Amino acid sequence: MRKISVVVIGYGNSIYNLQNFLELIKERRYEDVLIWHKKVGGYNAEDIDLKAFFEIDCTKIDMFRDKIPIYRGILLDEAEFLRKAINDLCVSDPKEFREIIRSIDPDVAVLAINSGEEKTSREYARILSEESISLINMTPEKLVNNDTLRRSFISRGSLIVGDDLMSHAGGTILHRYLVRFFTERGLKVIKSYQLDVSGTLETFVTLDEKIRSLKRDVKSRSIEFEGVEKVIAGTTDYIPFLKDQRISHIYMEIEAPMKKIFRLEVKYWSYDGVNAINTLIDVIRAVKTSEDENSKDPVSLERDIEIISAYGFKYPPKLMNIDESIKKFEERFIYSYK
Amino acid sequence: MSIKVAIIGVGNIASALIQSVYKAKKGEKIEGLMSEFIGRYTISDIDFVAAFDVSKNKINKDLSEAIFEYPNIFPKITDLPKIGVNVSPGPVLDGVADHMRNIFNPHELNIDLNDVIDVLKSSGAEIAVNLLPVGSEKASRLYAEACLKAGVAFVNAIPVFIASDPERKWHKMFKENNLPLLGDDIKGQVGATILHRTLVRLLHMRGVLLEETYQVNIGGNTDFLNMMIEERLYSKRLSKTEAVSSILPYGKKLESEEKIRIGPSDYIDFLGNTKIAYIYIKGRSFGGFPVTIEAKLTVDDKSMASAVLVDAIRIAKLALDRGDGGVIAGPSAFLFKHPPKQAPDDETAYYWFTRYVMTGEDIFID
Repeated sequence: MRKISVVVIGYGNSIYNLQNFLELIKERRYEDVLIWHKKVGGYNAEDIDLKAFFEIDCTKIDMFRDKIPIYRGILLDEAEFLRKAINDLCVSDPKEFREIIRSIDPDVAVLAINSGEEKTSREYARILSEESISLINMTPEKLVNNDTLRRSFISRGSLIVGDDLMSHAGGTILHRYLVRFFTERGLKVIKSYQLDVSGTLETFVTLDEKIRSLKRDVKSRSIEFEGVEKVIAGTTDYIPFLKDQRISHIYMEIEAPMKKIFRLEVKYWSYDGVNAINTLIDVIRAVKTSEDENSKDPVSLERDIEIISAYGFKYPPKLMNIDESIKKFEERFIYSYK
Repeated sequence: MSIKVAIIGVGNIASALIQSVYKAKKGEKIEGLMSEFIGRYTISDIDFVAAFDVSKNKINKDLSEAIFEYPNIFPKITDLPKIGVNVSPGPVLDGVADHMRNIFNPHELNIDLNDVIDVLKSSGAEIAVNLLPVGSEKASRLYAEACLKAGVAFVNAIPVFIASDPERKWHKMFKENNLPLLGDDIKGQVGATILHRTLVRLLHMRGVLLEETYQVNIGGNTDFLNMMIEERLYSKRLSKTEAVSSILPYGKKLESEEKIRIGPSDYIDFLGNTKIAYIYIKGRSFGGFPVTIEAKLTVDDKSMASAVLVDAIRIAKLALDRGDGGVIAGPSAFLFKHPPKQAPDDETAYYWFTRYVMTGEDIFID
């Protein structure tokens, strides 16, 4: 069986959980993992082979060195809140990163660093495109939505998909489904909000107003697309004791016949770390499948970038409603490979 | 009888306050008053004699018009006569955050301490009420100093620690000048803080060991937009957190373990002046079994604050009549989130407040 060699830039909760998940899969403990799509493209989840990590927090580098190689990452931004949160930074430079990545030569790189590292994200993307390595952008930095950058990946026969990974069953997708329920019944969702609180490092970093506003735009836009007139959705506060737990307070006002207003309130508890896994393993396998089949066909690559991004991310180059995005993804990467 | 008041910051709270007072002056019924009389004073005895703001939209306009200028959104609840007080330009200093510049539209005049003193003196103001945006540290201190020099009592409704200054510098200066000082950070009539305190107090009283709690507040006025910058929030978070943690003997320990998180959390523009608080509390009851409380509170943010301010203003006037200077500590504990001395519970705070009103006896602060 062919393997998909993957490097991950940024070793946070999601990636730690992904690593554990893949280990359980290798032990065939399917009942413990709850996998969404067993096979995507030609690949099973056990074909994903994590080759290396890049991280800037020295404590993590020390802690996880024994499992899979973990190298120092780069940091080109001021990232005030991130620097406040990480006491001991282990930072490398772009040249060293390029050399390591060249020696590993992975199929896919996953960008999972914290929000607000704009310059750093772009530099990673630039190097990866030059090295013809496909990139999955989990962060809300606008990389796939940068036309020049996207063309640069495609011209070298690789993909870039993103931006901002959508959790498998997180607050945003739940919010979108709820809106869809009302709009499909012919009602109008006039306004809604979603307040997410959590205790992760990513949430702490999001206290920086610039980052908060970027993420809020991305999240709100993806919900608005389902047909809400006015929506505000974002990371609202950092509650340290929640740790990896995320609480989403969702509220919406719906216009019903005769101008009556219905109101809906939902409180949803989930865990961030595990919530990225199913989306991420689907996206990794779809990207590799597209690479295998289309590296010399830019039109098909562009089409696959759109399909994968709309399926797995909050801010894809082409937004689709949920049903359409899942249908297209399954048609392209699942049904034809059964 | 008249209580001559200067307003510092002609925003939504000022609008709610002024309109409510004029409603009362016209003999209209005011629902939800906390105290009908404080001493001999009713709220219709309050007269507005001066006002300061930095917005070009409000400066030099009669107060009755200025309160409806952009970005204020508090609705018109009564017809106002011309008040005869034009809004004076105040010093900008740190009162306008960068991201609020376009909204507040501040003047470029060079206004200093003496200008403020002159306006206060010439207006005959007895009490100044500080309603500047959260984070206005320097500007608030300048107004407090101007009050000292102009012989005016100071009611500090925002979370800048003046009455609760740990070194008691301001307390001493106001005491030496025989001027009352109340603060800091006005409570809402039934705001999130007092509800949160009451719930925590209930659990504590019934022996529940509190493990963790949060309070997430959202709103859609300039107050919430202003507070989107985390650095401006430092004192606000401290003030709100201490108001809750002080209920528990182990409150400081919970704070240090980051088990309490309270603060203004987000700006949702379509909420306008509606403020929503989500409160979550988790503890352990007899035998170690979990207890959780979840509450959602929806209120009009500005009327909540002005309901308490009309009491604070009358307390300041009572203190002036009695010749009391320095922090009026007992009433401050009842009316403000961050007083120099927190009451162990709200019943005690209410007792301190009523005792001062009835007997003039106040609590001691060191």
